[in-house]
Amino acid sequence: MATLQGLAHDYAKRIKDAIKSDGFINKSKIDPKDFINSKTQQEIKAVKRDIDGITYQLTNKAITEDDKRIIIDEINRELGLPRTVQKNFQLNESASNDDLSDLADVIENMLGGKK
Amino acid sequence: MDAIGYITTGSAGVAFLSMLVTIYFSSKAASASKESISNADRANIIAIGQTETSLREQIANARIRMEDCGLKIPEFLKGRDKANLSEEELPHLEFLEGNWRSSTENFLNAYEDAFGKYLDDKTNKERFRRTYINEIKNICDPKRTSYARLMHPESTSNFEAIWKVYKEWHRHEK
Repeated sequence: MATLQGLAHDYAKRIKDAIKSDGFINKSKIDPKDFINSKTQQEIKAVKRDIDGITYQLTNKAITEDDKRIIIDEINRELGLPRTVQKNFQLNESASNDDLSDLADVIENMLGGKK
Repeated sequence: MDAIGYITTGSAGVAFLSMLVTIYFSSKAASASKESISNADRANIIAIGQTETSLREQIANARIRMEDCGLKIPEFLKGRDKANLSEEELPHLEFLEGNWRSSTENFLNAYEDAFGKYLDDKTNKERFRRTYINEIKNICDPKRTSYARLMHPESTSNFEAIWKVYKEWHRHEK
Protein backbone atom coordinates (compact mmCIF):
# COMPACT_ATOMS: atom_id res chain seq x y z
CA MET A 1 0.00 0.00 0.00
CA ALA A 2 1.45 3.36 -1.03
CA THR A 3 2.09 5.87 1.75
CA LEU A 4 1.67 9.63 1.36
CA GLN A 5 5.44 10.03 1.62
CA GLY A 6 6.01 7.31 -0.97
CA LEU A 7 3.61 8.99 -3.40
CA ALA A 8 5.22 12.38 -2.77
CA HIS A 9 8.63 10.88 -3.47
CA ASP A 10 7.44 9.48 -6.83
CA TYR A 11 5.81 12.78 -7.80
CA ALA A 12 8.91 14.76 -6.83
CA LYS A 13 11.02 12.41 -8.94
CA ARG A 14 8.76 12.97 -11.98
CA ILE A 15 9.10 16.75 -11.59
CA LYS A 16 12.86 16.50 -11.07
CA ASP A 17 13.20 14.41 -14.25
CA ALA A 18 11.15 16.97 -16.19
CA ILE A 19 13.30 19.83 -14.86
CA LYS A 20 16.39 17.92 -15.93
CA SER A 21 14.97 17.21 -19.36
CA ASP A 22 14.14 20.91 -19.86
CA GLY A 23 17.73 21.79 -18.95
CA PHE A 24 16.72 24.07 -16.08
CA ILE A 25 19.83 24.21 -13.93
CA ASN A 26 19.92 24.90 -10.19
CA LYS A 27 20.35 28.60 -9.33
CA SER A 28 20.05 29.64 -12.96
CA LYS A 29 17.42 32.23 -13.90
CA ILE A 30 14.79 31.23 -16.43
CA ASP A 31 12.42 33.42 -18.35
CA PRO A 32 8.73 32.84 -17.52
CA LYS A 33 8.15 32.34 -21.25
CA ASP A 34 10.54 29.37 -21.20
CA PHE A 35 8.55 27.83 -18.40
CA ILE A 36 5.21 28.13 -20.18
CA ASN A 37 4.52 24.92 -22.11
CA SER A 38 7.78 23.40 -20.83
CA LYS A 39 7.89 19.74 -19.87
CA THR A 40 8.32 20.86 -16.26
CA GLN A 41 5.10 22.84 -16.32
CA GLN A 42 3.22 19.99 -17.98
CA GLU A 43 4.55 17.50 -15.44
CA ILE A 44 3.61 19.75 -12.50
CA LYS A 45 0.09 19.99 -13.88
CA ALA A 46 -0.06 16.24 -14.44
CA VAL A 47 1.09 15.67 -10.86
CA LYS A 48 -1.55 18.10 -9.62
CA ARG A 49 -4.23 16.19 -11.54
CA ASP A 50 -2.92 12.88 -10.19
CA ILE A 51 -2.99 14.18 -6.61
CA ASP A 52 -6.56 15.39 -7.09
CA GLY A 53 -7.49 11.94 -8.36
CA ILE A 54 -6.03 9.92 -5.48
CA THR A 55 -8.53 7.78 -3.59
CA TYR A 56 -8.12 5.78 -0.38
CA GLN A 57 -7.82 2.07 -1.07
CA LEU A 58 -10.13 1.00 1.77
CA THR A 59 -12.98 3.46 1.33
CA ASN A 60 -12.47 4.40 -2.33
CA LYS A 61 -13.13 8.01 -1.30
CA ALA A 62 -11.21 11.01 -2.62
CA ILE A 63 -8.19 12.11 -0.64
CA THR A 64 -8.74 14.89 1.93
CA GLU A 65 -7.34 18.39 1.51
CA ASP A 66 -5.12 17.82 4.58
CA ASP A 67 -3.54 14.73 3.02
CA LYS A 68 -3.10 16.60 -0.28
CA ARG A 69 -1.27 19.32 1.65
CA ILE A 70 1.00 16.69 3.28
CA ILE A 71 1.92 15.32 -0.17
CA ILE A 72 2.53 18.79 -1.62
CA ASP A 73 4.63 19.84 1.38
CA GLU A 74 6.69 16.67 1.00
CA ILE A 75 7.17 17.34 -2.73
CA ASN A 76 8.24 20.91 -1.93
CA ARG A 77 10.71 19.55 0.62
CA GLU A 78 12.16 16.97 -1.79
CA LEU A 79 12.50 19.57 -4.54
CA GLY A 80 14.20 21.90 -2.06
CA LEU A 81 11.93 24.84 -2.86
CA PRO A 82 12.62 27.90 -0.69
CA ARG A 83 9.97 28.58 1.96
CA THR A 84 8.96 31.86 0.31
CA VAL A 85 8.24 30.05 -2.94
CA GLN A 86 6.29 27.36 -1.11
CA LYS A 87 4.17 30.00 0.60
CA ASN A 88 3.33 31.63 -2.71
CA PHE A 89 2.85 28.35 -4.55
CA GLN A 90 -0.56 28.72 -6.17
CA LEU A 91 -0.90 25.22 -7.51
CA ASN A 92 -4.13 24.67 -5.59
CA GLU A 93 -5.59 28.11 -5.87
CA SER A 94 -5.93 29.40 -9.39
CA ALA A 95 -8.34 28.28 -12.03
CA SER A 96 -7.02 27.19 -15.40
CA ASN A 97 -7.89 27.38 -19.07
CA ASP A 98 -4.66 25.68 -20.17
CA ASP A 99 -6.27 22.59 -21.67
CA LEU A 100 -8.84 24.62 -23.58
CA SER A 101 -6.09 26.94 -24.85
CA ASP A 102 -4.07 23.93 -26.03
CA LEU A 103 -7.14 22.52 -27.77
CA ALA A 104 -7.87 25.92 -29.33
CA ASP A 105 -4.33 26.15 -30.72
CA VAL A 106 -4.62 22.67 -32.23
CA ILE A 107 -7.85 23.69 -33.98
CA GLU A 108 -6.32 26.96 -35.19
CA ASN A 109 -3.44 24.99 -36.64
CA MET A 110 -5.90 22.71 -38.46
CA LEU A 111 -7.52 25.80 -39.92
CA GLY A 112 -4.20 27.19 -41.03
CA GLY A 113 -3.29 29.62 -38.22
CA LYS A 114 -4.13 33.30 -37.83
CA LYS A 115 -6.78 35.06 -39.91
CA MET B 1 -44.05 76.19 47.29
CA ASP B 2 -46.26 78.63 45.39
CA ALA B 3 -47.92 78.05 42.00
CA ILE B 4 -44.95 79.46 40.04
CA GLY B 5 -42.63 77.12 41.93
CA TYR B 6 -44.81 74.11 41.00
CA ILE B 7 -44.91 75.19 37.36
CA THR B 8 -41.11 75.65 37.23
CA THR B 9 -40.46 72.29 38.89
CA GLY B 10 -43.02 70.64 36.59
CA SER B 11 -41.42 72.15 33.49
CA ALA B 12 -37.97 71.06 34.63
CA GLY B 13 -39.35 67.57 35.22
CA VAL B 14 -40.88 67.42 31.75
CA ALA B 15 -37.65 68.73 30.20
CA PHE B 16 -35.61 66.11 32.08
CA LEU B 17 -38.02 63.38 31.06
CA SER B 18 -37.89 64.48 27.42
CA MET B 19 -34.08 64.49 27.61
CA LEU B 20 -34.14 60.88 28.89
CA VAL B 21 -36.52 59.88 26.10
CA THR B 22 -34.28 61.60 23.54
CA ILE B 23 -31.18 59.81 24.86
CA TYR B 24 -33.04 56.49 24.82
CA PHE B 25 -34.24 56.87 21.24
CA SER B 26 -30.94 58.25 19.96
CA SER B 27 -29.11 55.26 21.46
CA LYS B 28 -31.72 52.96 19.85
CA ALA B 29 -31.20 54.77 16.53
CA ALA B 30 -27.42 54.41 16.80
CA SER B 31 -27.63 50.67 17.41
CA ALA B 32 -30.17 50.29 14.60
CA SER B 33 -27.85 52.23 12.32
CA LYS B 34 -24.91 49.98 13.29
CA GLU B 35 -27.03 46.92 12.59
CA SER B 36 -28.15 48.31 9.25
CA ILE B 37 -24.50 49.03 8.30
CA SER B 38 -23.56 45.49 9.25
CA ASN B 39 -26.53 44.15 7.25
CA ALA B 40 -25.49 46.27 4.29
CA ASP B 41 -21.92 44.90 4.54
CA ARG B 42 -23.25 41.37 4.64
CA ALA B 43 -25.51 42.04 1.67
CA ASN B 44 -22.54 43.52 -0.17
CA ILE B 45 -20.40 40.43 0.49
CA ILE B 46 -23.24 38.20 -0.73
CA ALA B 47 -23.69 40.37 -3.86
CA ILE B 48 -19.94 40.18 -4.59
CA GLY B 49 -20.04 36.39 -4.19
CA GLN B 50 -23.03 36.13 -6.51
CA THR B 51 -21.34 38.36 -9.09
CA GLU B 52 -18.20 36.21 -9.03
CA THR B 53 -20.23 33.00 -9.35
CA SER B 54 -22.22 34.40 -12.24
CA LEU B 55 -19.04 35.57 -14.02
CA ARG B 56 -17.54 32.11 -13.62
CA GLU B 57 -20.72 30.57 -15.01
CA GLN B 58 -20.59 32.84 -18.05
CA ILE B 59 -16.98 31.83 -18.68
CA ALA B 60 -17.81 28.13 -18.18
CA ASN B 61 -20.74 28.35 -20.61
CA ALA B 62 -18.62 30.18 -23.19
CA ARG B 63 -15.96 27.52 -22.74
CA ILE B 64 -18.43 24.69 -23.34
CA ARG B 65 -19.64 26.37 -26.54
CA MET B 66 -16.05 26.87 -27.69
CA GLU B 67 -15.26 23.19 -27.05
CA ASP B 68 -18.39 22.11 -28.92
CA CYS B 69 -17.65 24.33 -31.92
CA GLY B 70 -13.98 23.32 -31.91
CA LEU B 71 -14.63 19.60 -31.84
CA LYS B 72 -16.85 19.77 -34.93
CA ILE B 73 -13.85 20.84 -37.04
CA PRO B 74 -11.65 17.71 -36.58
CA GLU B 75 -14.81 15.61 -36.84
CA PHE B 76 -15.48 17.13 -40.24
CA LEU B 77 -11.88 17.15 -41.48
CA LYS B 78 -11.23 13.54 -40.37
CA GLY B 79 -7.48 14.02 -40.66
CA ARG B 80 -7.66 15.66 -44.09
CA ASP B 81 -5.90 18.91 -44.90
CA LYS B 82 -8.06 21.92 -45.65
CA ALA B 83 -6.48 22.18 -49.10
CA ASN B 84 -7.70 18.68 -50.00
CA LEU B 85 -11.39 19.39 -49.46
CA SER B 86 -13.80 19.33 -52.38
CA GLU B 87 -15.63 22.45 -53.58
CA GLU B 88 -18.80 21.20 -51.92
CA GLU B 89 -17.07 20.63 -48.61
CA LEU B 90 -15.27 23.97 -48.35
CA PRO B 91 -18.36 26.10 -47.59
CA HIS B 92 -19.27 23.75 -44.76
CA LEU B 93 -15.81 24.11 -43.26
CA GLU B 94 -16.04 27.88 -43.63
CA PHE B 95 -19.30 27.78 -41.71
CA LEU B 96 -17.73 25.71 -38.93
CA GLU B 97 -14.73 28.04 -38.94
CA GLY B 98 -17.01 31.07 -38.54
CA ASN B 99 -18.78 29.37 -35.64
CA TRP B 100 -15.44 28.57 -34.05
CA ARG B 101 -14.18 32.14 -34.32
CA SER B 102 -17.44 33.51 -32.97
CA SER B 103 -17.28 31.14 -29.99
CA THR B 104 -13.69 32.23 -29.29
CA GLU B 105 -14.78 35.85 -29.38
CA ASN B 106 -17.66 35.03 -27.04
CA PHE B 107 -15.22 33.28 -24.67
CA LEU B 108 -13.02 36.39 -24.55
CA ASN B 109 -16.11 38.58 -24.12
CA ALA B 110 -16.93 36.62 -20.95
CA TYR B 111 -13.45 37.43 -19.59
CA GLU B 112 -13.77 41.05 -20.69
CA ASP B 113 -16.99 41.26 -18.70
CA ALA B 114 -15.35 39.62 -15.65
CA PHE B 115 -12.30 41.88 -15.71
CA GLY B 116 -14.55 44.91 -16.20
CA LYS B 117 -16.33 43.98 -12.95
CA TYR B 118 -12.93 43.60 -11.27
CA LEU B 119 -11.91 47.08 -12.41
CA ASP B 120 -15.25 48.47 -11.14
CA ASP B 121 -14.54 47.00 -7.68
CA LYS B 122 -17.49 44.64 -7.93
CA THR B 123 -15.44 41.60 -6.94
CA ASN B 124 -13.15 40.59 -4.10
CA LYS B 125 -9.89 41.85 -5.57
CA GLU B 126 -7.50 39.39 -3.93
CA ARG B 127 -9.65 36.30 -4.48
CA PHE B 128 -10.30 37.34 -8.07
CA ARG B 129 -6.60 37.80 -8.73
CA ARG B 130 -5.79 34.37 -7.29
CA THR B 131 -8.46 32.75 -9.45
CA TYR B 132 -7.74 34.39 -12.78
CA ILE B 133 -3.99 35.08 -12.73
CA ASN B 134 -3.09 32.03 -14.80
CA GLU B 135 -6.01 32.26 -17.20
CA ILE B 136 -5.25 35.83 -18.21
CA LYS B 137 -1.66 34.83 -19.00
CA ASN B 138 -2.85 32.37 -21.63
CA ILE B 139 -5.27 34.88 -23.12
CA CYS B 140 -2.60 37.56 -23.57
CA ASP B 141 0.15 35.17 -24.66
CA PRO B 142 1.07 36.09 -28.26
CA LYS B 143 2.05 32.46 -28.89
CA ARG B 144 -1.55 31.36 -28.34
CA THR B 145 -2.69 31.61 -31.95
CA SER B 146 -6.30 31.02 -31.00
CA TYR B 147 -6.53 34.24 -28.98
CA ALA B 148 -3.77 36.26 -30.67
CA ARG B 149 -6.05 37.12 -33.59
CA LEU B 150 -8.32 39.05 -31.23
CA MET B 151 -5.84 40.13 -28.56
CA HIS B 152 -2.84 41.33 -30.60
CA PRO B 153 -1.67 43.92 -31.24
CA GLU B 154 -2.84 45.37 -27.97
CA SER B 155 -3.36 48.83 -29.48
CA THR B 156 -6.11 47.56 -31.79
CA SER B 157 -7.61 44.93 -29.52
CA ASN B 158 -11.17 45.53 -28.35
CA PHE B 159 -10.54 43.79 -25.07
CA GLU B 160 -9.41 46.77 -23.04
CA ALA B 161 -10.36 45.49 -19.58
CA ILE B 162 -8.42 42.25 -20.14
CA TRP B 163 -5.31 44.18 -21.14
CA LYS B 164 -5.64 46.63 -18.28
CA VAL B 165 -5.84 43.85 -15.70
CA TYR B 166 -3.07 41.85 -17.42
CA LYS B 167 -0.75 44.84 -17.15
CA GLU B 168 -1.70 45.39 -13.53
CA TRP B 169 -0.90 41.79 -12.57
CA HIS B 170 2.02 41.05 -14.87
CA ARG B 171 3.72 44.42 -15.17
CA HIS B 172 7.08 42.96 -14.10
CA GLU B 173 7.06 40.28 -16.78
CA LYS B 174 8.23 41.19 -20.24
